Amino acid sequence: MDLEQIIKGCRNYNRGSQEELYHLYKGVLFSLCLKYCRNEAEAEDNLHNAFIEIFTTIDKFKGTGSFEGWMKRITINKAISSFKKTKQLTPIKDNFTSDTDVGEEEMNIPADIILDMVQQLPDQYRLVFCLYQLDDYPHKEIATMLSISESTSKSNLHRAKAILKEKITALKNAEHTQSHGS
Amino acid sequence: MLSIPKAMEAKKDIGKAIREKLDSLDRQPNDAMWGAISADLDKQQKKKRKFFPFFWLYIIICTIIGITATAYVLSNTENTNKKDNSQRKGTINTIITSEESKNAESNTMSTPTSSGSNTSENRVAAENNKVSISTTKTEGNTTMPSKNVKNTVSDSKASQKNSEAKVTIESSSVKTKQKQARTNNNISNKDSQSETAYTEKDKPVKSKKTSKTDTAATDHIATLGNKSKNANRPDALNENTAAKNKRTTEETDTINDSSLAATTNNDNAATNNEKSSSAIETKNIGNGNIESITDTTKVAADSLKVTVPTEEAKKDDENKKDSIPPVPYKKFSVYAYGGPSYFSFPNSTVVTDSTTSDLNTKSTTRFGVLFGYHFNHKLSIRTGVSVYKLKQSANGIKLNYTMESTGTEIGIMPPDNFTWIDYSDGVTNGSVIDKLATVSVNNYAAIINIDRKLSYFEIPIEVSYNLFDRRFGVNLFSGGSMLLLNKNEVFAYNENGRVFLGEWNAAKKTSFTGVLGLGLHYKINPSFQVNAEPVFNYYFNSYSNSKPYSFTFRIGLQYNFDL
Repeated sequence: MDLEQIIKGCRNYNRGSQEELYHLYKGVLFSLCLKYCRNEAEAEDNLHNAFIEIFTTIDKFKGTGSFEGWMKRITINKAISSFKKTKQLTPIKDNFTSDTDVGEEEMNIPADIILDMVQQLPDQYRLVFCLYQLDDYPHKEIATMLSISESTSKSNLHRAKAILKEKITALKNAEHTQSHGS
Repeated sequence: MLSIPKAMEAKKDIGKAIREKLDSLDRQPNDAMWGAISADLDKQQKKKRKFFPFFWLYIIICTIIGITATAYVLSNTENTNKKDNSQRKGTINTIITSEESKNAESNTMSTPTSSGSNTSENRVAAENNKVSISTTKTEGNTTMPSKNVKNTVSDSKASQKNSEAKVTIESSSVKTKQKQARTNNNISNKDSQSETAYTEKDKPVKSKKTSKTDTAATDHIATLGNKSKNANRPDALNENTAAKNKRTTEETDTINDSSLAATTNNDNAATNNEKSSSAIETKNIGNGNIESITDTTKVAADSLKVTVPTEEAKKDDENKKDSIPPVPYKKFSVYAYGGPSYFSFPNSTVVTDSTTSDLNTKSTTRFGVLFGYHFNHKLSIRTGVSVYKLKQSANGIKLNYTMESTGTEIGIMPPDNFTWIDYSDGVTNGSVIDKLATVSVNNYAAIINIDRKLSYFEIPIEVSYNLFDRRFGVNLFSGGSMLLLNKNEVFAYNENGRVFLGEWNAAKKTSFTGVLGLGLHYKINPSFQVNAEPVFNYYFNSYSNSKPYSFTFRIGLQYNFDL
């Protein structure tokens, strides 16, 4: 069954088509959720809510753009909504390092560990970082989505990168110390 | 081998580096996830089913009202026709009963048209006063019953030339005449009712059996025949049949045989009222008898000149009522209206977050034009377009930056944006403070008012049923309307200026309402009428977080026309 037929089936509330669509995109969307959420449990909740939204609003998909892109946007919006509900304050004026470049050797870290580091970022930083860096949203749109100013978005991104670099450097230093120590 | 110095190592942005790493991430959710999603979808569909019947229930109710109204109107029309027919049939049946003759059927075929004009014909006959007996005889056998009454009267009129002649008929001859008349009746008409009138002249109760639909004039003739011998009292003419019959009995007891005979003859003429018995009778009796009949009926005829117009007027009125054509109506109408609306959101979820107070509806107006098509004088359908404006506001909302410290870091935090607004580009609650800062408080706070303005094009479709339709009228109408959002603006303002915030995100661009209303109208003339209509609207899906309702008082001018 091709995607068009699956979408048609989903529009008719065909449970088989819905299940097929779920299995087709669960990996992609779950990975997306993992980046935007604090942990795996939260990511699963987000994925669950996103799929419910996708199935109940699939009539609104006009077929003009990418269906995967449409689903990703819904998934991201769900993550942002849950963030807004928690309303965690994040400082916008603080001290941070200006150098956010890393060498290849420093990035020789498994993806899961990198994901953990991203998940540990403060919510607003994490969202701005993911939106801008991983999903190519412009700062203007991010500002609207998160109800913040554009400059706040930029500074949050920079701060997120700085934190990540610190974490990576710290990890590398720990590895180095461990290897030299042993 | 030369190792690359660490400083010379190729570096790249950490963001890009992390993206490359995470792009390869491939994780799968828990296997139980689909089961949970499936269960939730079931719940969602049940909720939809719950809403669905409610919406359709409204549609069904509207349809039922429409169908019922149509059926009522149609059945009303049929009943009116049936009523007319049954009234006519009633007259016919009465005549048939009184005649109890198979031949009556053929006679009654033409009765309806003539029965209604009995009175006038009687009057005409009485006034003409020229009809000859021979003519009466001929007509009596062949023409309609009512005409016989006329003939009877005419007989009396014809012999009125001998008006000086007094009643000198002996009772024996009268009785003979009665018998002859009865015999003739039986032979020619088998008119049992008239027979009763003859044979039981002393039993006026029997004469009550005489059909109520016998013309009043006929009864009067009969009664007057009695009364003319004793007292010529015009007021008695207006009494009902039973009273007259009773009086007939009483008077009959006191009058002499000849007057009794005259009365009887008149009764006969009156109660027969259809056939030519009187004519036959007249034929069989002598001139003296004719004179006596004539004498009594002369008085009746004279009295009729006074009383018949009243009876005639009543009859005419009845006939007019029966023959009143349906209230004329024009098939098309244009109705321009305007009016205030009271708008209510059942819960305050419309507004807001904890940071704002509720938005109160300041003013709502509705104005538009409706085009109507009238199926008949009761039922019509109308549609058109209207503009509906809703303005809401909230005052004294405080926005301010907050100081926040997280560990070693201290920051100034802008307030959260309102969740119910889709902010326009570059606008946040922080930027609102920047523009509208209330210096008297501090530079990091603003006390603002918010206005929310919505404007819709509304396309209603309504079925209207007239409950009462005269110069003043009342009608009920019901239907629905489609709302098209054409303006959705939220502003923040205070004494320092005004900032466009964005749009209310709960307002849907296309939505539907249910309409129920009571219309009152006053017709200036058939073409123009003034309408006043309280209308209830229920908003099924206009707002994602609320289902409000509104009361509108439409008032306007309607022009009715035919193409």
